[in-house]
Amino acid sequence: MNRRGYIFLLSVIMIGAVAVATLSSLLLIGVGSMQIGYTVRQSEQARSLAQTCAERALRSLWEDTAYAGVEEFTFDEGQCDILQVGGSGNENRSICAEGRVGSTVRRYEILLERTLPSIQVSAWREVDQFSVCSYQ
Amino acid sequence: MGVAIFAVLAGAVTSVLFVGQEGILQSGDQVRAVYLSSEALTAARSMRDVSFDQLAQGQHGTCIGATGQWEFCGQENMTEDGFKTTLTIQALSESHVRVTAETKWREGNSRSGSVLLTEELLDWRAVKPIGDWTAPRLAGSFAIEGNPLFSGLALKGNVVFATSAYGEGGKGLQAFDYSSDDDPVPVATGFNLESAGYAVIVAGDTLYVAAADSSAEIQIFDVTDPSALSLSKRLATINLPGDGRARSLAFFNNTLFVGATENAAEPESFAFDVTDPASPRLADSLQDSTSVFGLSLHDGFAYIAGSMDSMELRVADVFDASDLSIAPGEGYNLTDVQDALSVATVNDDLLIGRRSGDAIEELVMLDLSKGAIPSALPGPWFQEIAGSVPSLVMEPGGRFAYIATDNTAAQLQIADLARFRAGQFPIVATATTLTGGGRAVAYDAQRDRVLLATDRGILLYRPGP
Repeated sequence: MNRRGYIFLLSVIMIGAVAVATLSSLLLIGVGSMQIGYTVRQSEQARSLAQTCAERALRSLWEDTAYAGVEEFTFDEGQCDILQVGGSGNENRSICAEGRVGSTVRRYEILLERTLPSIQVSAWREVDQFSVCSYQ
Repeated sequence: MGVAIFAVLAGAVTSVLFVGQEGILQSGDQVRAVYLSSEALTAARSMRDVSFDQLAQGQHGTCIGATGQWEFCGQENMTEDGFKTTLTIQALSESHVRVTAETKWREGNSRSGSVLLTEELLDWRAVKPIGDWTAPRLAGSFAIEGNPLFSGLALKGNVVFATSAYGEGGKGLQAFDYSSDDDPVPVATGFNLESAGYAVIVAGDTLYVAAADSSAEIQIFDVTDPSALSLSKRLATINLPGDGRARSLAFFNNTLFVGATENAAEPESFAFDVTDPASPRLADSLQDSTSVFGLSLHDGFAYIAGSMDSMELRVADVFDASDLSIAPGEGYNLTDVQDALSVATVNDDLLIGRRSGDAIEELVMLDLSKGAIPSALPGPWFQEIAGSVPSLVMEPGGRFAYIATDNTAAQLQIADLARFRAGQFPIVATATTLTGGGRAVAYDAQRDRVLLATDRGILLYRPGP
């Protein structure tokens, strides 16, 4: 093989490598971008499920201040959990609710000043990990 | 050959570029749709917060109305670039709806899709109605032969636990089912505490009793099934320093607070960690020169109805149960020297019931709006009860207070707290019993019922007419 042949072969290999790297990067960027949309949707649905469980817990506590929590609900979209309701009686209660869609988890921690005659919320916050409740 | 390879590579790069760009654009569309659907759910939540009745079943669009509040408008929302959002309300019950927000879009043949988010909303912002307590009615009663001298009440579900003397018909602790809204019916009739009981409190499925037993002043029972109350359900006992001194109980967040009669050498207030009720652990105790006849917890402070002549109301800082202390300012000195026997707190109102005295009014209301220690102004407000007030309770909304007293003509008295604050005569109703003086009172907030324990009976009242 002559000198020009080597140059051509090397050029093809180098251009090919650059092209493959570029194609791979672009493919990954494309797939990653699509994954972002999917993850955002999952995350928002998980938040909605956490909200659903929080709403159910609040109503249950309003109906019966002895409501203890520790319930799991399954929906078409995912699952949500109500952890053990904190405190006792009418004042200073706490509720923790968790929504899950796939591997995405969202958590609400709610502190109540009182439950009757109407629920007074003193704090409603989304948390990474629960601080006023524990898993049983 | 080289041109051909270059053309193939350029084509591939272009295709992938195109695919990547489409992916980014589709992802952006999806994020946008999630945002729009989420906004529609937010609108529904906001409307629920105003009034649950606004969540009419059907398909809706949402917008901010002239009042600046979210409201339904039309059947969908359409953005200028073609994102269509619909909010569908499906009623699951009178107080429970499923809300589905769906956003669809289409741009060309390749960029289309939909995002659907679902959540449930419930009417938990409702206000529990309360009946007309200016005209209470006796719904039922249970009288006991003898003189059991009931002393404390605690509620769990439809069962009321009542502490009493031991002997003369009293078993120390008895349970009554009042679910029928008629005469309370004794349950767990074979139970016997084997000593007098002074105070009782229920937290979850656990019952705590302050008893006269000199070596087991606090007794802890599992009352998961209240009708199965028995000594075999006793989880633990606590022996306080001294003999039979426990008089009052309060509970907050896995901590049991116990008040005892005065002892020069021993503490009068105790905090026990009862995270595991079967293994109570002393967290701290506090020595103070007062008997603790009544206890009420409010915003990290314990309000103590006691015997100290110069300060019948004592205030303890119990924010940290392992570090009890008397709060700065210490408490409130009421007129004359009659003991404070009972105390209750709701919102900014604090009520104290006192031992009967000729020169005092036995019911006092103090204001807590300016801090943990009741302020001199506004208030205090005083009301003559014409008898000792060993027990009182406020309904959770702070509208009415129910007062048990040994006034022979009005053993149950009901006070309107708004009238009390306004300086008007607060007693809006009274009830007379045939079973002796009022000794303990409890309010069932779920059913809007009052239970009164007297010398010899358990009485159930409902609001009128």
